[in-house]
Amino acid sequence: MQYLLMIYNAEDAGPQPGTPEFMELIQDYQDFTQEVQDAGVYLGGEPLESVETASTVRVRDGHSQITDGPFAETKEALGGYYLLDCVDLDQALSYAAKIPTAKYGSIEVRPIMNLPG
Amino acid sequence: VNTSFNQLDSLLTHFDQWVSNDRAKWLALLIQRINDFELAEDCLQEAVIKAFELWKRQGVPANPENWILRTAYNKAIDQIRRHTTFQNKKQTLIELSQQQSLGDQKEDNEIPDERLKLIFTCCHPALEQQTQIALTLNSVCGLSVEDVAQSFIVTKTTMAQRLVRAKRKIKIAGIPYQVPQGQELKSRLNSVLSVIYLIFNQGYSSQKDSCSEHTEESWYLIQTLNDLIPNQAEVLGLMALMLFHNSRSKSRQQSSETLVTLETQDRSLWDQNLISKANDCFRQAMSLNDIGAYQIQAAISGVHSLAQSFEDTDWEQICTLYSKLYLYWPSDTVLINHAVALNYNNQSDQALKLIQSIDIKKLNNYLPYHLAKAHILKSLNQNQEAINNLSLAMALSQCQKEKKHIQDQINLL
Repeated sequence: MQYLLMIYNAEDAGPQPGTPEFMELIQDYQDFTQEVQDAGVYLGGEPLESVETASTVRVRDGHSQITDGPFAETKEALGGYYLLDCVDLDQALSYAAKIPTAKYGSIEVRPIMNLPG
Repeated sequence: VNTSFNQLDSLLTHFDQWVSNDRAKWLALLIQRINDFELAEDCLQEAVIKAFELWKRQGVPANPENWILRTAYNKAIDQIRRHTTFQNKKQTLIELSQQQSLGDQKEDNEIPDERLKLIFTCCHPALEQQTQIALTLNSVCGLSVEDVAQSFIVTKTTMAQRLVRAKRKIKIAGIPYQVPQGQELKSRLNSVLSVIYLIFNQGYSSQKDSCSEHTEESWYLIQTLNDLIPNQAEVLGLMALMLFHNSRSKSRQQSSETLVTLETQDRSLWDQNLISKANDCFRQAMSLNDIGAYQIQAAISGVHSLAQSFEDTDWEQICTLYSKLYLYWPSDTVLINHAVALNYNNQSDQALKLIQSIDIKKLNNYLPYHLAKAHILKSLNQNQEAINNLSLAMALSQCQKEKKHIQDQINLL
């Protein structure tokens, strides 16, 4: 089963860019990515630019409405994701717990919908 | 199993009892085979109804259990054939055809007991705890949706929807049907135990007046757990705790109008047989050298059981145990109980200090907090403050017996 592991965190939480802790965090992410690749469960995963760079599009009555900012203004924003192919939810949850941001943010785990046909 | 004709015949007269005895076992096995919680339950239900209708007319087959399983299994296969898309169907049917058909095993073959997997799935932490409880009562204990709804004080429709959503989540999110291994086992066992304990003490229901008690169901669950996964210290600890608690049930029911607290219970009504069973469980738990919150709570209950009278209680020991309990279960509930024990141990100043250290914002609507505080303030002769706290507790109480108990205390002041 495929699962999307969405990494949410408040941008002021956890190590900030330019600090030695941030370099450690990057290293932890590299190690985690290596681990899921070696385990053969990795399908994809990327970090996202900060939420200030987000734009949101809605089409209403045939017209595009574009707004500056994320879809929902919340303290914790989507900061990146992994797409993993796991045997079951327990395996997906145990990888989610290993994502470095899990220590100060939250990881939402969602199964990818199985489309018929 | 040699079932004589007479026994089979009489099976129809106690059909419901027979079904409820083994239903969880059948369901657990069906889910294991077809990997679909909702479908397994529906097909088992249909098979049971069909069995009763058919057997009334044609007699009971030689192996009724296998008949039920085979019928339910075949119904499920039919459903899967009809509803899966071609591509998924091929895979599913190949997998199913590789298995021995259910109910075809030789008669002397015991049906494998997969109830542990069922219990762990129902109590999976990816489900909300209230849902875990409802699902366990419904699927493992076999309580009807109506009965479960009643014990949660919600409508049947609301409960039915909640259960369907849970079963769909199990399937769609891929919650595994398995007993967790290694490190995982301990934490997952904890979530099973808290579900059993909440069912036991009705801790999930806000209205304690609710007439549905599930002592029997919780006992069935803990025994099943202990049978299938023996020598787990915390399982035995919870068993001991439940036995200690049950040993006092007669004395708790001394009055139909008010709560009978430990202080006023007639100790000659305590069931010494249950106490000795509780002690056996407790000793067995301790011998496993794996201390945990349920064992410590059982120990506290055990100290009460030893006391000839309320005045005789070893409060020193109980205070020590509450300090220890807090290490394993750091919660406000433990602090409140610890404060009450300190108060009984003639350490009212410390008791007040401890209860005042708790963040009141979180506990304003927590009845035991106000009761405990009133109790301590009374010992310190701060009667007006005590009455204020009792009034707060009174306003929060939803149980007639409890209200009467609180009113009696206000009157005393």
